[in-house]
Amino acid sequence: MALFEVIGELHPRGISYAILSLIIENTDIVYLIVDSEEEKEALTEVLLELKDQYELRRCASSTIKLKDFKVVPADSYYMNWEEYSGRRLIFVKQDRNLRSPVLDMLTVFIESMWRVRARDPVKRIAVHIADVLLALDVIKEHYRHLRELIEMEMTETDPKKKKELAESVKKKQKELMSMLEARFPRKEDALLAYELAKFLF
Amino acid sequence: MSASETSIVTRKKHEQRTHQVYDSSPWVSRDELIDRILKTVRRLRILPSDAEELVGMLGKSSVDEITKKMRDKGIPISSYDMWSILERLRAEGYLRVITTKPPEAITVAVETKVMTPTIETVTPRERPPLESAPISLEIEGKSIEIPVPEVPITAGVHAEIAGAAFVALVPQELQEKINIVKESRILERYFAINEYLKAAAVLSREGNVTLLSMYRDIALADVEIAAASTVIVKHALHVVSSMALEQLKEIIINSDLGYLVLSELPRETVIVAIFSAEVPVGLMIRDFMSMRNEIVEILST
Repeated sequence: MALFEVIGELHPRGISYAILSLIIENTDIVYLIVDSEEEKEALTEVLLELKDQYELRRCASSTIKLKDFKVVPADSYYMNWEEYSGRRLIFVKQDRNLRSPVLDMLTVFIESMWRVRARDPVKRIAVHIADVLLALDVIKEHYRHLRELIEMEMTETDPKKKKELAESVKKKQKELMSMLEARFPRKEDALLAYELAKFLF
Repeated sequence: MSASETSIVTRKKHEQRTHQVYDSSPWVSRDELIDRILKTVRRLRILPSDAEELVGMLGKSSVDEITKKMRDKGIPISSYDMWSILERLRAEGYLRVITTKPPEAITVAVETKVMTPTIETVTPRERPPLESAPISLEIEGKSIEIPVPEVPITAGVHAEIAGAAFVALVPQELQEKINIVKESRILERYFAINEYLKAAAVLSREGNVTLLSMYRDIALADVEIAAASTVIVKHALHVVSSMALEQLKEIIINSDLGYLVLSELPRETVIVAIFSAEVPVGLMIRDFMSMRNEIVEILST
């Protein structure tokens, strides 16, 4: 089955959920459950390429690490489900409807690749997501500073100081978005990086 | 995949689901989720504090564990109900499955029977030997004795049917489904969580075969239960259909010593359960209907 057909089966949102699990899960390895061997092969190809692209380009000090993964066809999983007890499971199809703005944004990007039938889609998806992750390392300290400002503003009782802090927050947010927009030609990608930063840092 | 492997997957899938651990989407706030839960389970009338407790258990407890906790608080809910609620929230994107808990051994003492004929074995009565006394006639002063010809003994109706041969009357496919039901340990699970459940049986609609039955602390005559239950269900179905009452859910017979609950199943079968009199009626109905629904899922595939 061609990659586009498999993506059609998994839906761009399923692929996005699988990618997101490698970024956000707090575990060493995730087990991704798919329906068939074809889906397993296609998803493994996409995720391996993403890991390769990211590992090639990330700096040594980066704190973001893509998790290891194993893709398991559903029948094989259910036959031995007891052995997977306690492991981090990702049901790619059943849970792809998860409410998440990050997932929505990732899906829009993968869907665009899918709709235009882009050439070498696996590599394009991988390079693009790797770019977003690399941007996170750059903005990490800025985002932490922004969060500190937000927390200070929330706890501040003096109205004058509160107003000053609110302005600082606004300014820092603008600065952060400008940094991201300078790295990405599309505003959606800058927003995706911002949303991921909100979740990770 | 072979047929036997498919049935193993069906069974395992069934087993796995109540061991699933659900967690909320990290992007959904606690308050939003509590609000959604209260709307989803409006029928159960759970309190906001119960919904809060449920949210607190997400990410840590399995469906079975959450159910036990809720039942301890007096909420009449079965694992199947809880799983259905969590699945609905999952489909709406509020929850996802993150892992499973290892299965625990079910320690409940029940007697199990599978595929037994319920027709009583009728042994032919011993016939008394025919008295064939000669008929005496007196013709013209002479006494003549006419011997009675030997009458062949016609065989009586022999109702004894060997168990194995009888089971052969049950369609192969139904036998396989019943085996999946048994191996999925659906009945045992309900015996384990509901101490008032005393017996449960799946019968053919004619009442002539007990496809699967389990008893605890009581001795039941399969024959009587099967025959009576199937007749009751048959009549109830007739009444429901002639009065256009749509689908028959369950029939409850209330007696001094307990309740007999009956319902129809797919593939021309019937489910019967006996609960002791102390059972809270709401809990009894929830458990019975959940047990029925779980069996229906397997028999309908």
